[in-house]
Amino acid sequence: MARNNDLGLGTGLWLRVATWLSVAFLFLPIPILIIFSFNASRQVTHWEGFSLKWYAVAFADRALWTGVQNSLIIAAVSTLLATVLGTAAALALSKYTFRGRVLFQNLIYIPIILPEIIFGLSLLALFILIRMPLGFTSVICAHVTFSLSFVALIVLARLHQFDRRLEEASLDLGANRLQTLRYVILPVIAPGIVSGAMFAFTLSLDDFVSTLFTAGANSTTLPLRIYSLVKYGVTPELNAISTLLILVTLAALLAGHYLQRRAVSQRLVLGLGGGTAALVAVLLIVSIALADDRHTLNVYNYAGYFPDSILADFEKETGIRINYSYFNDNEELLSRLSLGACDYDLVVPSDYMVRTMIKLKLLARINRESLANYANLDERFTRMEFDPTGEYYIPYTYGCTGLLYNRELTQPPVDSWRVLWDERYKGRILMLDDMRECFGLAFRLLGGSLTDRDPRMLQDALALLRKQKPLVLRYDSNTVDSILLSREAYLAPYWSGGGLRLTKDHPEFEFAIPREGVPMFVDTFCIPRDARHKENAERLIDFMLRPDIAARCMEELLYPMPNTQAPALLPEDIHALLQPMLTLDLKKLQLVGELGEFNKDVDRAWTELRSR
Amino acid sequence: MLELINVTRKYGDVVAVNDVSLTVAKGEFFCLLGSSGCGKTTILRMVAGFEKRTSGQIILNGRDMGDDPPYCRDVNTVFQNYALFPHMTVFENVAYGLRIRKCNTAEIGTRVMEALGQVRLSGFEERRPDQLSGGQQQRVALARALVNRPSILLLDEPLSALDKKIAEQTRLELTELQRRVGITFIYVTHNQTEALALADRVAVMHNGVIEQCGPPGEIYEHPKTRFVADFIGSMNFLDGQVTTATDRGCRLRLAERWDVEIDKASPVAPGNRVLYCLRPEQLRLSLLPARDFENSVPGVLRRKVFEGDATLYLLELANGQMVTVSQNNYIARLARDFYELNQEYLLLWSRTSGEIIRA
Repeated sequence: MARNNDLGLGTGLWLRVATWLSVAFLFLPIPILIIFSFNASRQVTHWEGFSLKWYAVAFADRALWTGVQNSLIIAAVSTLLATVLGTAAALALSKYTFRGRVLFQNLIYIPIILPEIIFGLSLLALFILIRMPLGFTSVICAHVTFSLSFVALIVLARLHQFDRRLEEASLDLGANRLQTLRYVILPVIAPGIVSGAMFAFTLSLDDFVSTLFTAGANSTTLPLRIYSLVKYGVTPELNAISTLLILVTLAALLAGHYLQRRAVSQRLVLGLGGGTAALVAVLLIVSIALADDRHTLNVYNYAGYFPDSILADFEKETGIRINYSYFNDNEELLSRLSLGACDYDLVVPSDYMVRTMIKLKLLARINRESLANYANLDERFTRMEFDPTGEYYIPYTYGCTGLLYNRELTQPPVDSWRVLWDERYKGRILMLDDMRECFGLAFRLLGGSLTDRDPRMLQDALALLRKQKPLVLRYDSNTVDSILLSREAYLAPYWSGGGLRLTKDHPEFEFAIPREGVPMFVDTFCIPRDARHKENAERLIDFMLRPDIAARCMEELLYPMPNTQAPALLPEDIHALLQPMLTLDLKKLQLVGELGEFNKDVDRAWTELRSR
Repeated sequence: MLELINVTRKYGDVVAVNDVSLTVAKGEFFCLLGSSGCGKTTILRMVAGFEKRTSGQIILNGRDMGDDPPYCRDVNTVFQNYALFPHMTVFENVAYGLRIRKCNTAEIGTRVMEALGQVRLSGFEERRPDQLSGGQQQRVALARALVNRPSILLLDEPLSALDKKIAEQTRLELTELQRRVGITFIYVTHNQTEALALADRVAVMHNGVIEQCGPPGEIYEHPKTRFVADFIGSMNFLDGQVTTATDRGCRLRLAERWDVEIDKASPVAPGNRVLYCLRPEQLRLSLLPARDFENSVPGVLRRKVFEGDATLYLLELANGQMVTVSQNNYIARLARDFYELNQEYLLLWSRTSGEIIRA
């Protein structure tokens, strides 16, 4: 059989197999992702039957839709700006010789070559230096800077094919330079401009890194939202969102293809695209102008850590509009807050971070007299060691690391961390992929604490963990539920929130507090020193301390709150579930403190453990 | 009508056009001929306005237009690769100039159709350029320029991208078209056949200067410089020295051994070193001297090159120089002439043939 383009890659079968393997490797994850979006279970890889409930969850996720909305606004505006500027840059580079042209041409490449993280950092530094508040404008600026380069390069490539004589022909026929640009150059390079614009749009839509650095209190985009969801373990909601995104993208592609097939004029397509972008830009400006700044509250928290329904009730009750943006760990919160350009009114740091922030003078004193529900708080939590005055924080929730295990696959008693060294469970033990959890556990078994910062004990702890390593199935923090549900592993140290959620849905699981004691955390409400809506923040705190609201919070999050009135209002099953947490002996718990320089030693030991 | 006075164009130290002066009359078909890099296209582009002159004057209809931008000049160009707008139909391409000048729609319609009729493209209005053959594209380019009724039409190698057959056919049409519309054509080409066939006058350019300017016959028959003699057609050059000279003719001693007579008045004096130029078709081969071909020089036949209508014979003279003779095959066959390689023959020519150029 004759083949037109045999590149010497061999014949039929082998080539076909290699091709199909590559295709499968590239695209198989997508059907898998789509299939599991219909999973009834909250586990990502454990099939429990068909259900559309994750689509319902995704559709009801207010923060998600805010993210979609923000992403679209940012993408539309930045695409418009980047396309105009990028095309202008490309025209200048290809048509004119001017002083510094070569330099300019090379500068265009920089946002493409430079690692995005450096780019994001430098933009952030610039915005802070010029005191530009982080928000829509800063994100759009960031997106324009890098997508401009892509537009310019794509248009430049098109211009390289552009026959200069077309331009001369137009001038020759009596058109001046502007008319030539309008009637000849732009129409001929229009396909380049359109693909540049589409490229800019996609780049902006899925940009994560530079958005992370430049987003402010009200400009959380879809990728930021999705990433923050991962924090709580990957749930099928993400699959549902992704499936919807794939559908939208496919629809857009098909529409584009259809428009091309039907030879709808480029002018129409350009007009439609440009018009839409312009409309969005106008809407954005109007919405910014109309937003009443006094009635807003900028919350910076983990995603979903304030239940959506409660925030909605608060907004309805007070008329205050909440902008919710996310961080993924305390360190991110600290770095953002110390930059001081973010305009946050309420943040939720953990215990040790409160101490650091007080030391760095980042927090404001909370006006406790204004909180009518302050009296509901459990007094053991109001003046904890990280802030003995209790002036800078209000406790929100607490939790601990306990032992999650499958009753049907283990033999009682499971009440000690030592069970994780039990040969009987070889290959069935799952450990958190978290150095502080692992070493904290080993230190506790050795009778010490990580916060003692004892280097000799670190060596013993490393030896202990090394001894355990052959028994360990895997180190993983993100899919603990799925691995336990699939019965690959029988037991694992796990955080109380996730552990209790699993036991709620699957009665064969049990969440135990081992007798050696467990590490504990307390998450708190804090108000940044520069907060512009301090009263609004205090109103939300007070709202969350109301017994009925606190009970709803606890039910939704399955994290206990130190509220003396709320437990009585909990439904019976939830109360039973939370009972061990509500009756915790605080003396058995230990707040995880700061490690300072010792952190590096632990890190080294952790790397050593994981690498061998 | 169009006058170039001492026009010079320099690119840094490189002189592309060196102090050129020429005049083109109204309705004339004027041709700039030369090999690539001779400056002919630069002149065209300076007239069109795409290039700035370094010095000199470019006068159209009595006004120096040297500094006008291209869109203010009453000239239109047909580009080498036609430069049709790929995003427009044939109609829109041709209408472009009129649209820019804000003609009303009805007038645009009639004039575009008229122009398309002139280039025999009626019925092609809605095609796009990429749906046309090279020849058709070329005619669209022509119509697009003609429709504006410019004072001068500039044509930059318009036939060079076409097949030989189509180029020859289009050549004929182009002359007819020019006679019909009466617009002045300035035509740039490197192809001497085209230039000789088309033009009323030809300017042969070399190294940025015009070597010779005149009607095609004069250029061919009486080249004034060695470059022109060599560039137009083929030519044998023989070195010689004038021995005697009168107002009716002169005697030359060629290669310091052969004396020949020439019946042609030339501004030479005895002792001058000259080049004697003979075209291959002016020469004959023979075993014996002939009566009406007074001059003869012996040579040995070294090669024969069959060219269809004629055969080229390459003779080596006693001084080692090769001379080319062209003989019509039809006539040669009638005479049953037969020449053998490495045989000595006489090279014959008439006293009235050949040109003398000062060395």
